Amino acid sequence: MLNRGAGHLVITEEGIRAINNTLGNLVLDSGAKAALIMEKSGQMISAQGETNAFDTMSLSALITGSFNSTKAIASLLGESEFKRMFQQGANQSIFMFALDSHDILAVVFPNAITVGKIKYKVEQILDTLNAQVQAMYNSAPAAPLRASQAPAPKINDLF
Amino acid sequence: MALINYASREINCKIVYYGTGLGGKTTNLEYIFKQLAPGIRGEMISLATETERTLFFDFLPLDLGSVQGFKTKFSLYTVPGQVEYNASRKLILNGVDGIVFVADSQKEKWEENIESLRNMEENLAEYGLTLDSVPYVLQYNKRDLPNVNTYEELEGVLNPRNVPSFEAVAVEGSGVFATLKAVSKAVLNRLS
Repeated sequence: MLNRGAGHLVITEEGIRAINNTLGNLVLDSGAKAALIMEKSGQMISAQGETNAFDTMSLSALITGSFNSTKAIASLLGESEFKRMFQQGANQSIFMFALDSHDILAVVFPNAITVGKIKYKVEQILDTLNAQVQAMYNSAPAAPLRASQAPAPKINDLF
Repeated sequence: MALINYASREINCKIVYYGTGLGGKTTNLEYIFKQLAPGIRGEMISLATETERTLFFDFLPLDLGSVQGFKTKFSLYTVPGQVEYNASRKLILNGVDGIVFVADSQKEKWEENIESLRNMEENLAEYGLTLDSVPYVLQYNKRDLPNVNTYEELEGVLNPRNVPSFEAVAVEGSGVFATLKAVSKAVLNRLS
């Protein structure tokens, strides 16, 4: 599962499998093109669906920036945040949902599918998804990298 | 916060270029983008005004190869340097793993550099972070211009923690990769 111990976000195989499964089912059930979860700093956690059609890293950074910037708007209106955001395009659109953990779920879908259907399908799995993320916060915050597992940096080899 | 994915064997880190307006943050990213092969870097995204001032942020993803079986991916961001865009700067610092503070070496930018560094510390504090807890390096840019402070003067005021610092002419690429290498190394060291 995800683990935010020691200031890092750790994704384990079993944890991401459960999340991928939930997102994959969402894509199948709703007819969406893709569903992504991104961490509030802009890092992508999971993407399911036709993800080869997008630059998912850039998409995550931009969606997070866009979503987070609405918090400033919300505060001007006396709201703590906006939990849903919708961007409508000519052929495809995107609906974004704040998770309880403040991570973001984004669903990209063709306009042949109504936004109402996407919203309904997401609401159906939102509790499950939140529970999966919440399980991470409740899990023992072990150090994400034990010394024996830590990737010793060899940055000189990278350039 | 770094994202360590044991399923896909990836480490994702976020590096933010911070500093005064027109100091050369975007120029750093543009040079990196131009010099690296497309297989190593993704597309650079700039959310800029019509006059090419950074409005929200620039973004450049880099894939810097494997380290002990983990693919290392870095997301480089710049902040808008203009004073009035502080809300954006604060947002972009969310989840930061490493910082490059780009100082403008010109004498007339002396006060702005100090103010920008102070502003950065204030914004980091909003996330419970300090310059002691986040790896960062300094870059003294525009060293080719005639009216600049000396390296020692800049060090004396901007680098009390004695972190790695680099002289640069970002528009020509001088010092750009040395800076990136230093901050990447500092971030990965923090993970060990």
